[in-house]
Amino acid sequence: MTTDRMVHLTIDDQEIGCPEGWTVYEAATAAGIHIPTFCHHEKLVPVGACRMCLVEIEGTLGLQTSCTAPVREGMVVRVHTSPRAVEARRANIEFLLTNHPLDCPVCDKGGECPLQDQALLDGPGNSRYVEEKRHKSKRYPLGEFIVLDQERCVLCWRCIRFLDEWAGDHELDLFGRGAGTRLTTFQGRPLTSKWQGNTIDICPVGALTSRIFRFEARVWELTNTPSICPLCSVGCNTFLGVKNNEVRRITPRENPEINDVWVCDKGRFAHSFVDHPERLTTPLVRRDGKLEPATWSEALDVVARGFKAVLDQDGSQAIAGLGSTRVSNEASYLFQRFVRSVLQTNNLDHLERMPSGATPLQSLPNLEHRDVIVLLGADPSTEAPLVELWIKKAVLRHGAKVIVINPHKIELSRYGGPWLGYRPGSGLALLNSLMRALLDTGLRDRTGRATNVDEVRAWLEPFGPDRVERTTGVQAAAIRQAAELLAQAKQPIILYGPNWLLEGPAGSAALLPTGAPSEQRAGLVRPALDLVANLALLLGGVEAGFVPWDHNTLGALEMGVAPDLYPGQQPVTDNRVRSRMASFWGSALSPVRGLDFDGMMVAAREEGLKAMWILGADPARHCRVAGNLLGQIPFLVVQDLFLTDTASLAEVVLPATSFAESDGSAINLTGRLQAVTAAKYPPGQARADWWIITQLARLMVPPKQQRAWAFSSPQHVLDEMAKVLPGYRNLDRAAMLAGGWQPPRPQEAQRRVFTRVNAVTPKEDPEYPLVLCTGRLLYDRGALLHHAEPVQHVVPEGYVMIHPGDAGQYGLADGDGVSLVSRAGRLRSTVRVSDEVAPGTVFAPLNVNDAPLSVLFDDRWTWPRVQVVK
Amino acid sequence: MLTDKSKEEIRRIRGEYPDPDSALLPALYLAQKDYGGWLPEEAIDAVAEIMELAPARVGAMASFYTLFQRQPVGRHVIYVCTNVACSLLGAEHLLEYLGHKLGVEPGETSADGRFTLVEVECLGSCGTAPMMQVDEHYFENLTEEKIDRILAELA
Repeated sequence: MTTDRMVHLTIDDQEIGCPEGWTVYEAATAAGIHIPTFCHHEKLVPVGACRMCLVEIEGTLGLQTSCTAPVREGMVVRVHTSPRAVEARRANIEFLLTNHPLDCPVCDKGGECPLQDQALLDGPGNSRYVEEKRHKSKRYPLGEFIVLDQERCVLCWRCIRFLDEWAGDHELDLFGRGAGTRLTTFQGRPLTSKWQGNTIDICPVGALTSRIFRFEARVWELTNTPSICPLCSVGCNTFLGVKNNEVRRITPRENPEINDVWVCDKGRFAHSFVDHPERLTTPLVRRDGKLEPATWSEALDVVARGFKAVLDQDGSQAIAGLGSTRVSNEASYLFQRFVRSVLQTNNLDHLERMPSGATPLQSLPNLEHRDVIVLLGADPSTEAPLVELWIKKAVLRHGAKVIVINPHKIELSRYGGPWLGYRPGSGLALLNSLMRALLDTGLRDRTGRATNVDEVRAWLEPFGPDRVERTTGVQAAAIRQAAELLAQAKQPIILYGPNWLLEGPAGSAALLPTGAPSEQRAGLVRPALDLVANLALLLGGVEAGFVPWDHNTLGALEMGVAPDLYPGQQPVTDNRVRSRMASFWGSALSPVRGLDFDGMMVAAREEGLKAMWILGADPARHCRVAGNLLGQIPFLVVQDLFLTDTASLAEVVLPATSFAESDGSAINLTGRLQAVTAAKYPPGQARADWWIITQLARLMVPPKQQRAWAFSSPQHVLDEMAKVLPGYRNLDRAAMLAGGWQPPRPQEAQRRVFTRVNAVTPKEDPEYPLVLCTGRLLYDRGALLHHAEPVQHVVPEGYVMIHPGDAGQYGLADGDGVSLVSRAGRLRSTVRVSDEVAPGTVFAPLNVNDAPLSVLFDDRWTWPRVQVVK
Repeated sequence: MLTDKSKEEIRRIRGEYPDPDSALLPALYLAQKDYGGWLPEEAIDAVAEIMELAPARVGAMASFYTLFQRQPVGRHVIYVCTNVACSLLGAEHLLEYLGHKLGVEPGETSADGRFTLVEVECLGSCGTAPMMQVDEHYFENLTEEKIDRILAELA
């Protein structure tokens, strides 16, 4: 363990001071003295297995492995000045090379291989070994993603240690002994870890190589462009390796604040959607009922005339824009600027909006130091994998506990923390009883800052854990266990996800029709947030962070793609803000709060919505009702990568660029602004969002406003954003490019008051007795992954998970083909009987069947009640 | 299947060490007894579950030690040391003698299912070489006659 005390030692006649607890290897490396290694890796616990880092230490008998030898005061070490050590290392390379195959010309590691490098640097240059080399398995698939060459393996344990120490997935190990030792899985079971791709990076030889990248390119042919992974809200830093204008592989780019040196397999292996043959390569315009290819000038002209016609005949309230949580900030910013200043309306929204009042997580690395982590309707393993990795670090290295509050079990339930598997809709009773149990433990005086603790005690009176057992389906003992853990926690944190808002306190309770006023919906979200805030306050004002699903959820809101908020989340109803925006944008602006998505759908049903522009979203697929209504909008324009369900309904389809093809920025789940850089040219005529919006604006605005749309690059858009967004005045572009820039966080007033949340009694529906809850899988058939062939192999068939008690009652067995039936629709599926779902609840994953689950939903806001019939 | 007694015992042993890895060898011995002298896949999984270790960890451990069998064995397992001291005193000849007598190569089980012959490295009994271990007992200062007698006494 590193301490503050300094130790002084001599390495190769150089005087070095370093903290006590360092190893000789670390001290030498810090002083610029190179020691070759294979098994040592700075992110892994040393094992001293490869013998490559041998050095001479005065006063010890044999040579020592510098990666495991701790420094001592007065130590004298010889690395390159000891003939004995130099010779031992040279001999070690020669030994490794006796059996290592000389197939570098066909080895994917060639060119970035530590063994190659060190053979060149310290090796003997020729071989005295003339005997037959040892033979082992050479093309051994370890699963869908990795192929193993056992002959190349030098038994360094790096892959095993990574999977064990970081991922908690000890699936690989060394079997046998001596010369016959083999790296493999137990009984040839396929690797399942979602982190396995990282073993390819850290393998010091070509033993573990990617099945997706295999023989695609020599590594020196790749141009590696720094990028950001677009597949979840974490925004892992990556390199896109491009050859011949195709993304061939993705590797992690170190960022200690976000992904350290790792990336999940989805981010690494699912890139082929970028170069998919079904990408839109030309604008499409509907002619005689059919979408047909058109030039950009034709298509933009049709769009401009279409919008103008609606503006002239029906006014600006008949037009709306739907943005996306997946496009860049620059695209979002320009999109809302266009809709507001050119189309003159605040009818703007995006789906999966960050709930107002939810606060982003402050830091990923800090998760490591949390001792109790509460996951409330959040499943980081499938929704934001790097969050899982940091949580696992807390669990595996420091013994943290994870409390899972979710209707179905999640991967992080495996660490022995209690799983509070509650009935959707009963979240209020559950959290109240957890708070009640916390107060009963005689919680140390954490609530000092709250002003109405006595009131809370009174509110919580009816929520004793035993009394809520029937409502929630959660055993009182589990609630008490969670309360005990939390009462003793020193650094607890609450992470909550979008599903908590759906299934928590309101859940299936209030069946709102699509298009219910947003205030009514806010009425559903509010209690969910208040309950979280109450729990956080009771624990002493601890952090509660929201974990969104999409790449740029925070960006869409921050850029103002919302009916009520300008960029920087400034209200559209504020006259001063509005006049400021108007001067930036060179146009008068509507003072009226616009329609949100549900409002737009109501307007569509009432035939008041005549035109709509949808950017990077597919509501037709994700919302059954919306799908029908979108078809009724006379002039629908869709901008996307693929011909989605929504795009198929459009009059004009505009082909956009993917994250790999345009510069831009995005805001990750901790609020960090990160740069995305174009790594390749777009396919065909596809164009960047900012370009499309700018071109269209120039076609539509009068001559004197042309200058307001003179953007010639996304960097110019960012320039304007830096002026418009209050927090972005000191935008540090260098930092943004280097590892992300953290805008100043708004100072939030510390909550001091518990908010009383009123119970809503769930409406029972005897005909449809079960509640359907859904969730994401890591690999699914969603919009992008659907076009990423390699990961499609690991997407399971659709299933519906049901508790054994319910299965018994309805006569269902594992593997039964069934129909899931709700009042809205029906869907075929297969039964999985499992106690990993709460009684009275069924779980079905999103985006796995051909028919989307949305056919069962009445609206986007509540879990449907269903029956499962054979 | 692991007997309840073995499960209980494995849990007890596991509790005696700060690191569950340390308890693996005795746990695997118990499992090997319950499963008829060898460790099928199911046995490794069962031990892994009780020990809360990954099956790969347990399987790798079992594969390292020659005293754990991963293939079905005869009623008795004969481990013949052919390391330096034993070899100098004729172990290789004795191994051949045993193989011939049982009609097997090292690693195989005799046709009557009585014996499995295994060649192993040093068992730490160099002072009484040549030696072999049958099941859990050492037999030292071996000769052909002694081997005949030992085998005859084993059912």
